Parts: sequence; structure tokens; C-alpha cells
Amino acid sequence: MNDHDLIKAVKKGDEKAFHELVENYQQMIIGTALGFVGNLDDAHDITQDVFIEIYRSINSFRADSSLSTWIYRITITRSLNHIRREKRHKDQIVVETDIREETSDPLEDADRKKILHLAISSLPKNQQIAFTLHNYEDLSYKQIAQIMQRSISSVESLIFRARKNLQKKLWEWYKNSRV
Amino acid sequence: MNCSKTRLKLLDFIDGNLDQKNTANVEKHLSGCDVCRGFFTELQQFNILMHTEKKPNVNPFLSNRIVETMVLQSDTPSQLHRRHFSKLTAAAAIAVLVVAGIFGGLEIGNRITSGLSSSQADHPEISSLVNELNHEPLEQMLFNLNTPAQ
Ligand SMILES: [Zn+2]
Repeated sequence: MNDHDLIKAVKKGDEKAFHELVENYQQMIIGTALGFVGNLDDAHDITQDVFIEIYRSINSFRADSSLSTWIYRITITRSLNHIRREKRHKDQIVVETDIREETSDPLEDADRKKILHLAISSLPKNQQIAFTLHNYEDLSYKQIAQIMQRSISSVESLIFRARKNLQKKLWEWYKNSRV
Repeated sequence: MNCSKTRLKLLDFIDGNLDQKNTANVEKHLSGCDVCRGFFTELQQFNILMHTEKKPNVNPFLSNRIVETMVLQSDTPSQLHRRHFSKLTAAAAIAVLVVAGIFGGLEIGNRITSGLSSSQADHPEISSLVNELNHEPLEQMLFNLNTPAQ
């Protein structure tokens, strides 16, 4: 079934069609959510929430954007909400990272992942969105421009600034962790 | 090329996005600067991590779990859309939420304040990352997302 028929069937409450929609889009949603939150369990939870929202609001979907663009927007909003809710949890990560630094063991991937996502999530929101879609989903500037409703050149500039800022933030972390 | 200029080119260097001249300049600087070389090695690890995080394995039971959740609701989307709480239920729910919000907010506020003093104060480099989250209101981002670029 193509997206148009799929949406029509889901609107009618066709369970099989909804199953197909989940199969078609779950990888995309999990990949995007993981890019934002950096934790596979959380990415799965977000994915479930995204599908519930898709199901509930499918009647408000208008064909003026593609289904994937619409789903990306829902996923971004859900992921950023999740990051905001988990901010307190991130304070906990800071503590764990401190412990690691004090023992001066080599940094493990799990810690590195936390630091990386802390740095990405501290970028200005639009830079964070553009960077994540480009880096984790390999979307083109044009696709990101459609999702973010911005011009291609502004997306290009957001990604450029995101990469420079990320290097600065990781440098700050590296510099201080060596003291 | 000095240290700060080199550091800002490292991600592009790692990705092979630099022209010949800049590549040579970065290589020359790295060969003579331990600090930048150490950071470059660390940045390479971060870059590898970003690539390994791509295309994650999807839990094979996820789609069944999601569809079951939806079927349990046994509503078509249009029925769901039209269904409303009774006014009484909604009013009661709002009252509970307001009370819970006030007490919950006070409690969370206390915990955050005490949490910051113990963990963030000692490590300004990480706390600066956390704190910046406060300066990016989500509403603004959503507004930007929903507003077409001029
Ligand atoms: Zn240097």
C-alpha cells in the first residue's frame, strides 16, 4: 500500500493498515529519537508515543506535506519533550561522569555517549534538530528544510554552526577533564 | 595554524571535508601539538560512536506491542477524535492536576536546587551544558517549527 492508501485505511480504523504503517516507519522514528536522546530504551518508548499520536491525530493530517515529514515533526517534538522531562535525570549523569573522571580510567563508550548527547542536547534547539536529522538520519538539506519549514541555506548554516559549537563544547569538556 | 583554529577544523578533518591545503595545515599542527592531538583522538572516538548509533536494532516485538496498545483502545481514529471527557470529569481532572502541579513543582524545585549545589558547582564544564538547556524554551522551538521561514 502506498502512503496515501495507508492513511485512508488507517483513518477508517483498519488494523492491518496501521500495522503496516508501524512496520514502514518504526526504524525511521527510532533512529531519529535515538539521535536526540542517545538511549535505545527511551527511543523505543518515544516511538510508541509517536505511533499513538499518529493514530490519534491521523484525521488532522493534511496531504500538503508528506507522511514522513509529518512523522518526523511529531518525533522531534516528542524527543525534545522527553529531553526536557529527563533533565533532572541528566543531573544524575553529571554525577556519574564526575565519578569516572575522578578514577581517571579511560572513558568508556557508555560515558562517552552520555557526554556526546549532553553536548548535542545543549545546542540551540534548531541547530540540534538540523544536526540530528543530518547526522543520524542522513537526511539531505532539502529534506531537513521541509521538515523544519526553513530555507535550504538556513539549514546549511544551522548544521555548520552546530558542528562548530559541538567541537567547542567537547573541547571544553576535554580540557576540563584533563585537569 | 594555531590551536584554536585547528580544533575548529577537526570534525571536518575527520570527515575528510577539508581541502588539501587545510588538511596539510591540520596534519602539521597535530604532529607538533600533544594537546590538540589528544583532543583529536577523543573526537575520533565520538565520531565513531555517532556512526555506530545510526540505524539501531528495532525491538522485534515493538510493532506488535504498539498495535496491541491501539487495539485495546478499540476506537477508530475518528471515534477517538470525537470522544470527550464529560465536563465534570474534566473539571475534576484539572483540579487534581493543579494541586499536584503546585506540590510537585515545589518538590522538584527543591530537589533541583539541592542537586545543582552538590554536582554542578564542582564541574562547571558539564554544568554549563546542562544549564544551557534552560535557555532554550521548547515553546519557542515549536513556534519556529510551525512558522514557515520568511
Ligand atoms: Zn594545538
